[in-house]
Amino acid sequence: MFGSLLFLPWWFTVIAAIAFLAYFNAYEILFWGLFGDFLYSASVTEFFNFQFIFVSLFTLLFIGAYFLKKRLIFYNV
Amino acid sequence: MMSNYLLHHKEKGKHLFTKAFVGVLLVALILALVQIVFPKSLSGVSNFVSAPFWKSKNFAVSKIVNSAGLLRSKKALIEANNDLKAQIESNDLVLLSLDLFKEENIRLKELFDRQIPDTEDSVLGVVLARPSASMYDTLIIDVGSGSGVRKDNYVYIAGDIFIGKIDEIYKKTSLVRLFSSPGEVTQVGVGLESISANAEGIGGGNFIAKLPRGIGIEEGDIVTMPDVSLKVFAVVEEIDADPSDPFLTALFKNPVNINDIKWVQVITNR
Repeated sequence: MFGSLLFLPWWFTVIAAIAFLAYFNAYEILFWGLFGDFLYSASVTEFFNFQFIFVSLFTLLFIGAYFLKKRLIFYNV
Repeated sequence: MMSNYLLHHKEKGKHLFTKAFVGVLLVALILALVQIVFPKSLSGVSNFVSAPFWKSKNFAVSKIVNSAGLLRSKKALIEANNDLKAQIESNDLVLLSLDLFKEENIRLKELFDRQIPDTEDSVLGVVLARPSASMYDTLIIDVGSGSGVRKDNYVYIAGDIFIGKIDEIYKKTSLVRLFSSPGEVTQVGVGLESISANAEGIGGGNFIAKLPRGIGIEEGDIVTMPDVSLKVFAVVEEIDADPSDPFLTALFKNPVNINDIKWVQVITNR
């Protein structure tokens, strides 16, 4: 994830986060999201100068993955 | 009595998961608050940690690209060399006429008693991270406060094309916010008559502007910033005119691919 945040496009980082969530309870993606925001963020004028897009997206993915896993037979959550 | 070990274990696991998630979220919130209250603290650390990796990557990529040239045939290299020489000669002629136009422009401004801007002091910076790495449309460059860079300094490519301003400065790196960042509005002049417009960034070096119909702009017109310098902002890429709408929508694009740039110039006295 660290390498993806530094060297690869953002959409690859998001796909990698989804892949980690699919296989593990990857709590650390929240920290990677924060790291990405600390590195690259500038306040987004369209969203009231919000500057935590990565961590917000990863939090939503995490919560979504949690609820999805509860309903899927493959996961023992 | 049946043992409820599995059910008990599963419930315990679920509670543990929830507690761990809440704990992690709390820590993340605290870090985010620290970032809001002390904006440069954690960003500075992140940049400090990441800068060596970016520089190593740039070094490794340049070595690989240079080595790949060794695999090409001699004939292909000679042909490429000749093409580049011809291109340089042609560009030199164009630059010569450009210098003449600049000279004439300065003399005309002096004639009309307009203030000529002082010579611009600039710093050359290497791009460490391009806009594609994040969702923010920002660049990270390898010059910071140590090189005389200040907040809101203008950033150019090739000396004449505006791309953005310095948004955050650290000791050895800076964050450049591009003018094309979504929601960023910049006042510009379109075409030879410098028709005033507000260009709104839509990301990736692209802009959108609404202009009244019938003003005579065309695709390919140059868009500039409304001051007395000759700096290019964008080029008119497309014009969309709906007959029922009194306004037309013009799409501007930065003439250089933002995701391919390697060097930028930061004007430190503007």
